[in-house]
Amino acid sequence: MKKGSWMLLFAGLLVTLSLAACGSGAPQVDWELEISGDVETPMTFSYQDLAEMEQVDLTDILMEKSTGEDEVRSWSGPALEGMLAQAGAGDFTTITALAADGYAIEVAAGELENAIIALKDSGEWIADVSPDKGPVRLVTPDTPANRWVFQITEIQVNQ
Amino acid sequence: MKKRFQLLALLMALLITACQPAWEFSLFGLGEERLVNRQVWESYADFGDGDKVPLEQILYGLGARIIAEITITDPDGKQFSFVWEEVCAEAWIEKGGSLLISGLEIVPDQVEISLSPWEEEVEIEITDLAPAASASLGIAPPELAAGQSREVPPADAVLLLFLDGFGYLRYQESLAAGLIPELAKLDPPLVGLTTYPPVTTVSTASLLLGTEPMIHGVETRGIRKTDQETLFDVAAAADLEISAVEGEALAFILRGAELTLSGDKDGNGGTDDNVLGNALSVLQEGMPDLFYIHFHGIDDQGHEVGPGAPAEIEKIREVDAAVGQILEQLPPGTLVIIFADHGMHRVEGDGRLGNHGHLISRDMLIPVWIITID
Repeated sequence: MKKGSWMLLFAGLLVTLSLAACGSGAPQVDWELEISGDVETPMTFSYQDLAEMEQVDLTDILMEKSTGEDEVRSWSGPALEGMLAQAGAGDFTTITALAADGYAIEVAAGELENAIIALKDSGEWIADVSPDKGPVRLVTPDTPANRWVFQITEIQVNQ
Repeated sequence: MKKRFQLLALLMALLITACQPAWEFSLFGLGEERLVNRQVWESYADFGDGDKVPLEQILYGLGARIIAEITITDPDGKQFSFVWEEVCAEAWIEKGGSLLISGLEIVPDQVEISLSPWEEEVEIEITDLAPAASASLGIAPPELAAGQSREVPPADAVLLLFLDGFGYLRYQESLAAGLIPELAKLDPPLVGLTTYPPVTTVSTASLLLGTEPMIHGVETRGIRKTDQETLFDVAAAADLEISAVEGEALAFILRGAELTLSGDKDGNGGTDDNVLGNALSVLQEGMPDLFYIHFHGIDDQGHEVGPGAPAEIEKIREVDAAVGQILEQLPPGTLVIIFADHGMHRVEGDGRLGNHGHLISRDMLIPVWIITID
């Protein structure tokens, strides 16, 4: 084997090892989610930050769609409640969720119970299986799916 | 070897094409006789499920706007007539050329469309509103705009007041029932026509771009954004101040506007009171050059309880009162365009009591008021 081939093999091994060290097996994605508004410490979470946080599984959740057939799917990702607490959000009335394409929705605090920032859809990384609906998506399991903002980039907390 | 493979592929493609049955039928009632065939079907195939396409999609593309009846004659001369509003949701054209109407499969030889007399009454289209607003503000219309700007006076500012789901026929009924004292103070609205499908995302795109869905490309419910130039883009390029007060969510992405969302903060089950509060707050700060206010409640209640139900009537009263409050706060020299995006008809089942989305007068006709504040 030539010297160059050995170096290529070594580099590949290094990449594999470093990915394995991450533990989550998450794809490498360039994405950030900002938490802003009425919080003590505005925060920015990278995709890797989100992947390394404790993952909550929401199993067999009814996805009530405004168009097309409803679906039952499972979602995984960090709990929104923990992220808001980390940013120091106290009592608030609503959040405004903003997506990369400019879509925005204001969701009442009461509708956010058990909400997660989903990274996986039915066990698969959203970034891999449906990049146009990811890589991250707000999932609020107790509400219709029009609140489940995909490609979410910012959560503004409103008192 | 490569050439041999290409020849084989060409032969197979020809064989597949030849195996597809050719079909064709004549369509009457939309001006001159039209032929509908497999080629026409294929050009609308993206709107279907692979096997069938909504018949309305093709009829709209061929020029139908409000359909009253359809009569189908099969090759044996047998005729089948349908009132369109009774079958519009279940009318398909299959890949093989048969029509599937409310579960009945008919091989058509001729199809006769009877248009609603309402088509003759239409005075303005939703695609005219962006050109009208542009003309009044002294800016160019959006690039794709094909609507007429009409004769609107120059104005210091323009308000687009959007009453979601308040169709023209529901307006007439509300007027007769005394539900809308504020709107009744205004001159009667123009009879307006929206675009197909009459749903909020598509209609909003038609409003902001001033052209038909087949041109602007927002042709179905699921699309929430356009890359084409909108009224807001033109106004922003002219350094005009643009504000938008929406309900809890953007129905369509309003690029270029200073946006205020109006979630149901008070938890009373509706957002129109929040929209009104936010709109009045904006006006207290000073009327923007271009202001867009979107009330969703009539549409929400229309879906949930159906047009004419007490909760929907109450919502019409509430929105009418809100319109009155907003008009009171506007400075002189403001051009106000009050309009709906579509109407609503009663349905049963599907978890809803009202819906819209068809080429029928209840869905397609909209009221349009164009007034100047003195």
